[in-house]
Amino acid sequence: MTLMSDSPATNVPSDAGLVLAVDEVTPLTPTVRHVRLVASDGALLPSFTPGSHIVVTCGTGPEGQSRRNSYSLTGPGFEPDHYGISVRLEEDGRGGSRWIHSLRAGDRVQVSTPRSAFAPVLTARHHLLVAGGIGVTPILSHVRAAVQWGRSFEVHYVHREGDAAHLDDLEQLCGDRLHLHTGRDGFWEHMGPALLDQPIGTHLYACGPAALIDELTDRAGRAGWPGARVHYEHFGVGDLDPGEPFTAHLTRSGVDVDVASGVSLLEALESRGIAVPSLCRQGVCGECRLPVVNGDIDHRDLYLGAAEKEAGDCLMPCVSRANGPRLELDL
Amino acid sequence: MSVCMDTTSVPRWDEERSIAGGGRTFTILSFGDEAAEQARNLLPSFDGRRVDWMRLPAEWGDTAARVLRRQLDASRVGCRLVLVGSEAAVLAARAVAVAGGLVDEEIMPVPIDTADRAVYCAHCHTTHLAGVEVGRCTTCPNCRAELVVYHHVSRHHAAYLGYMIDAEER
Repeated sequence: MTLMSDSPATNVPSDAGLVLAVDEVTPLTPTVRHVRLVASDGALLPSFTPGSHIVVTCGTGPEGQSRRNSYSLTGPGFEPDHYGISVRLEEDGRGGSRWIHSLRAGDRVQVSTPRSAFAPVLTARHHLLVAGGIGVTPILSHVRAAVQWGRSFEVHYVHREGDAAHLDDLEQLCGDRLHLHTGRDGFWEHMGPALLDQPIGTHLYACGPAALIDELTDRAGRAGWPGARVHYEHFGVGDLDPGEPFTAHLTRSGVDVDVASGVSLLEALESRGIAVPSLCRQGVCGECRLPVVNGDIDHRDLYLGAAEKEAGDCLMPCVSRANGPRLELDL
Repeated sequence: MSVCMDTTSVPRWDEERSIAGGGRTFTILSFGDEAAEQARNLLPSFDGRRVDWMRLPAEWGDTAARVLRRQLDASRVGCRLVLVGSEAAVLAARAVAVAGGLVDEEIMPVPIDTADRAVYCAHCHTTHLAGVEVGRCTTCPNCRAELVVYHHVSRHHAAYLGYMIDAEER
């Protein structure tokens, strides 16, 4: 069967991603800018599932490699006329957000097609949505879909005073289903009872800093929420410890690759001309997964599950390292 | 009839008899006297948690479904459901619980007796109970079709698939 669509397919094919034009850049808060990306010929863009993100190529890093960051799409997902991303400037980051903040209308941007890693569960009876800071972006996408399809939901948004991106959008979409918090204590005073009083069939979704997600999943677990009801997406992966140097031995080619402290295994492999597919380069997307034959692994990614990490037969070379002097890879 | 145990949907109850930790409240449904005995033995394992124990007739029916739905409507996330009874009753209760919003990790099935099986007739879409082994035949009491009890269990219909033994020869 061949699927046909009325939408003109004039965008660049999916494996190469899309080249879009910046239509408008809008400051949302002192630190957050919203970038509206459109096809240069005005065509509709591929639809996406709520909570999806795109991987944006944000210029190049100091060693000349492409810098790619994942950003959640904030706009409507069905045959969209634009992709909207909202990016907080990370002063101490790797430079991706600074690159986004330097964009002007008319600039061209290389992006991936949307990827879904934080989708709503369609059988849920109620959606309990929790946003921390700029983690509001995928939550806004969930809210748009929930309103459109008449799903039961509520939003808890914790943010710094005067720094609430997309507050207008949420107020308009949610009405009294929006709960705002500016202080940590007030937020947990409110969330604690909320976790104890949700109807059967509720699913919990959270996006925010790791500390918020860790505490929320911990509290949910203690309130009896099974893992299948709890969904979260991390952002703002902090800079990792540079780590100890080690040697990666490639068993198929017999090559030894030295990985210095402060250099990722992925970067070390690339500098030896060994191509490894990669996207986010921060342990989130799972693209660069490599098979491990031997050696202890210091897993530092957010992608692999506990059982996979325990098995010790693969790692994410963009962030993870050897836990010892030597690691053998099936390469 | 060869059965691939890796792929068949026939329940492996020993593997399914587990439940996510951390439950705050427990509802036990026991179906019949023998199941009630078994449920009583389970009670000490829920010591310290709130437990609602409901004793129901051995055979699944409208009353049991009504009781379970009412209980689910009044429950909050954090509850667990324990089902003790014949395989047919456990499967039927599980189907209603999932339709009502529970997930597998919140349901502990404790089947006590698997002599009777619920068989879904693929021809007239009714379900009947029959003391029959998988791979053997039973007659559909509704449409009189002679059904093979196939090694497929629908969690939605809460029954084994039964299809006419000579369907392809007619």
